[in-house]
Amino acid sequence: MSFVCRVSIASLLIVIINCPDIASQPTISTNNLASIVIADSSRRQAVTVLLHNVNGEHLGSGVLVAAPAGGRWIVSNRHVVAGEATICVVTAKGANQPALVLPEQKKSHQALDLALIWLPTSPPEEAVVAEITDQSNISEMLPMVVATGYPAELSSPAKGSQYSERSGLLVPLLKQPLQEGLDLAYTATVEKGMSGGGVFIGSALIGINSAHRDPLWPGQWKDFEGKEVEPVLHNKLHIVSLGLSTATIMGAIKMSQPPGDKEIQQLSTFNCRKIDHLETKGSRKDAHTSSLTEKTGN
Amino acid sequence: MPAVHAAPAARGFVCNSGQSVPSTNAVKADGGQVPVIRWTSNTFDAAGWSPERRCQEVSNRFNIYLQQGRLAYITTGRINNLPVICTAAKNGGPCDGLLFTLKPGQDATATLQNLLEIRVKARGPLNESNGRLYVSIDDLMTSAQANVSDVRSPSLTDSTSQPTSTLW
Repeated sequence: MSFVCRVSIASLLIVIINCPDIASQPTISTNNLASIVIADSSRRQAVTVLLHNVNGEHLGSGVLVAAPAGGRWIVSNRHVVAGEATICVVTAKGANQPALVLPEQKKSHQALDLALIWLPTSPPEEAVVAEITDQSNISEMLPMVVATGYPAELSSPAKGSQYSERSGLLVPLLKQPLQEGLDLAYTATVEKGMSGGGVFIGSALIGINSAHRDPLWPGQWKDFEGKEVEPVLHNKLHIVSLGLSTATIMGAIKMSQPPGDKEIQQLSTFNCRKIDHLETKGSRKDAHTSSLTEKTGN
Repeated sequence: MPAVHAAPAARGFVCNSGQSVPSTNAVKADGGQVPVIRWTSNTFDAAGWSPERRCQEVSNRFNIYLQQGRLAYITTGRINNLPVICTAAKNGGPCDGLLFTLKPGQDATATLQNLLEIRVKARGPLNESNGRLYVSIDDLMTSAQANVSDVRSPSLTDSTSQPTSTLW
């Protein structure tokens, strides 16, 4: 596979010319492929949400993953919602609703960097949730992934947040989970604020973001048992983003129950709408994806 | 075996006092800045430590420790009976460089956890002073006057503007 094939979806033409796997499929025209890519992006955006607290602080991102009776499960990171029992969820359509953060779960002796959030909904609202897949179902060696989320405006005060997608490769770097259960490594550039956003292959969710590449200052990565990782792996971890896989996420959801009526009723006093500066503002794609969008717009 | 560390993203730390709230920012290689601590409290103005001054002092410490390669191990400790966040020479080692001091009784471990999350976790910044890191670090700061002769703090040797008897 060429470099272009691996890292670029910027140009459909280049992809098709340089990727024999794609070019050799006569049933997929340029327009159809573009439609597929756009549809995937739309699905990713539809299930990616922005999380903020009642004071309007941009906490991070999340993904809608399941829609049982009475509400939806949103997954994010524990470090995103730490200290919050109730948060506000802004969907891609701009709805801004209160949701409950489930108390921290434990796995082994160390907590996962995973938070489950319950967003009560009333029928007959359409249930839009991510298509879930497992890493074990991925046959490709280095599949292209797309990391999604709402990068934070680092200026003060924040001026708003745009949905963003960053493409990269899923790399088989981790034989064992790291601290807090991190078990996905990929080259997509994740920014502050994208924690809890999805990691997708096409429109299928394979995990969520947790840590960005290039730590701000030196430190230590530890494995799930709390031991420092080997120096070679440690240095490799500096150049990848890290996340939690859907296997870990869905396992936690299976063991969880939605909050009771009493807790849900507390949300009625929680006003998310008074915060307007964190409303989502359309979408922003990285260079690869935006180029693709330009082409498909012709 | 000592850890071999890849180059950090931050090439330095600065105090950005150009906005309404001064902040200690990590400066990335591309010139972008990531806020680490926002300085909001005026509690210590009377002691001569305005938010701007505290920002300058602690940013300077972060910056010097980074250049000296001493931020790899950050830990908690106690100095003059006060909890502190500090650097260490090795994993599990004692404090050998003060970063900042917390109020008596405050949870240094939780503060350290928050600081380490800012290092690499992709969460959003905190813009209001309602208890999550950044600001909570600031809220935990104390203006205690103390002798820090047992701590190698760069501010004591490299900064001529700070009184050596003040612990931050």
